[in-house]
Amino acid sequence: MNHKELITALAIKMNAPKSFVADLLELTVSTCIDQLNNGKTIGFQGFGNFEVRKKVERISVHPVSQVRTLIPPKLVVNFKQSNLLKDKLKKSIQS
Amino acid sequence: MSKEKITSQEIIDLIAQKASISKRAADEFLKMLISTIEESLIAGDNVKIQHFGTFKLQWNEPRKSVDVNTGQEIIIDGYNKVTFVPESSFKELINEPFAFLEAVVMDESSESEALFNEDEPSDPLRTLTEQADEIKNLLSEIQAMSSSQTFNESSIEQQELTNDLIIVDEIQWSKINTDSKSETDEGIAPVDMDETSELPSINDIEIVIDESDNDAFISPTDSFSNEMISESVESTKIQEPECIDSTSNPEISSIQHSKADEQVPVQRFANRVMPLKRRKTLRRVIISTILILLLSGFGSYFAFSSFEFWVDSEIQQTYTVFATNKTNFSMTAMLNTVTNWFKPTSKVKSHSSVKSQHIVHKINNIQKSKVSVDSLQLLFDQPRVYTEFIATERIHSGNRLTLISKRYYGSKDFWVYIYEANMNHISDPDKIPEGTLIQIPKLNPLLIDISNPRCIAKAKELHDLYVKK
Repeated sequence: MNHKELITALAIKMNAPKSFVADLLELTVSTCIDQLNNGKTIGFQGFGNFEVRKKVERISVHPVSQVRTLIPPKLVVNFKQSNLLKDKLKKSIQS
Repeated sequence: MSKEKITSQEIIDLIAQKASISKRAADEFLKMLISTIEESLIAGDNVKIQHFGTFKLQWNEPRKSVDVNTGQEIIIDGYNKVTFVPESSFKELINEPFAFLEAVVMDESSESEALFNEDEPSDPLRTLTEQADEIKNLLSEIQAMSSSQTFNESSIEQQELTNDLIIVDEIQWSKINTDSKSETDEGIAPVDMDETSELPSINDIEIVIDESDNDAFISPTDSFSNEMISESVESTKIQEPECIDSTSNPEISSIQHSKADEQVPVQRFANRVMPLKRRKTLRRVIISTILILLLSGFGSYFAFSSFEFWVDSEIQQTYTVFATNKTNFSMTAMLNTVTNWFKPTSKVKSHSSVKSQHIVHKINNIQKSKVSVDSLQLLFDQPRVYTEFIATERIHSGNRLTLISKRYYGSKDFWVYIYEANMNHISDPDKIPEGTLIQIPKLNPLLIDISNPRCIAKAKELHDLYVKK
């Protein structure tokens, strides 16, 4: 399901015009990004947590040439599903 | 960056505020969005949201494990995991604080730097031996030039460096042979005078000059004294083979720094040599000797005023002496010709005083230029005292000394100075606890000159020192 399909599905469910849904979705996404960029963790009840994590620097060794490279630290976005979602997926797929 | 957690309720509030819709509508929208994503995932489909990322379902295989409490083997059931892959634009936005960092290939550069540093202490020795060779060459040239030398005076200024930072400046007046020639030929005597007066400063290392004309020999004395600077002037023998038959006894007097002390042996010296004609030449000898002593005293004072690592002071002194050698040599050559033009002694005398002033100026200039070159080294060696601070920073997660250094000084290499200034409350520069207040010291701009490779090298040297510690 891509972006357009998602908007269509949402528009049908909410009984609202697509453009409105698209705007709202865009706003939601930008709000989430802003909050994450400020170092906050967003928790969606029953869905999961979005979190910014720091990957520390490390030394990688090329397996063939044995060149040692220092990989700098970086920040990454991490999503962890909630247990509710995990159970839901388990049940729905088993049934 | 604080790990503050916000709930979906806060997101709903923000959306409602921005989109100017009711909170209920926003809440409904978000719930709808999540449920749609879930449904799609359950259906086994990926969900892609523009500018955000993709949600995927990943099947984790069942695996065996051991129950921590009972020690029995258990099987963890396979499960589906929702993974989220952020879009590249989102990823870059989040990683902005570290975006300037690049992967660095670690080669042997750090090792070569260490080797380079170890090479430095051996330099003075090398320069000393080179210098010795050069001085010998110079002396042989001078001797060749003045083959008809009648008035011989050689002094050996010897610098010996012992473990206790001892420099012995020893000026040895070994021989003064006066011939009848010197009395008759007034022209030659001043020439010789000039040369001999220059000799002491030329000689820095033990040099033995063999005078084939004379029976007498020069015996350089190796004396080590525990004083910081001891200048001993030994006027050993005065031989006057033709005019005065008697050979005076060796007279040894040591002079330490004060001019008054210097005058004493010098006057005795003058009294011993009676003939009036020689008084003038002797006076010149005295003047030049005092001048030399003052110069050497000034030189050693200059070297010790920094009293940093002995290596540096040693380098500096050898440099200074080296420079003086060259100027003196050229001055000698020039003045030989000049004194030949002005035969009358009175004129020569005035000229020699002018010349001595010239030399003093020249040496001063040389030392000044040395100061500007080596002031950087001195600056490096000085213990840095941090009294002025330009700012105060609070360490938070993801903030590092290198980043702060880059912000304030333009290069992350200079973080060591921030660390030095805050050493008393930072135990490990790699792990500074969050919330620590650090002060950014005001540094000498010469010390943190990005364009100067020596500054970078110095900072790296310090870096190695602290990181190894």
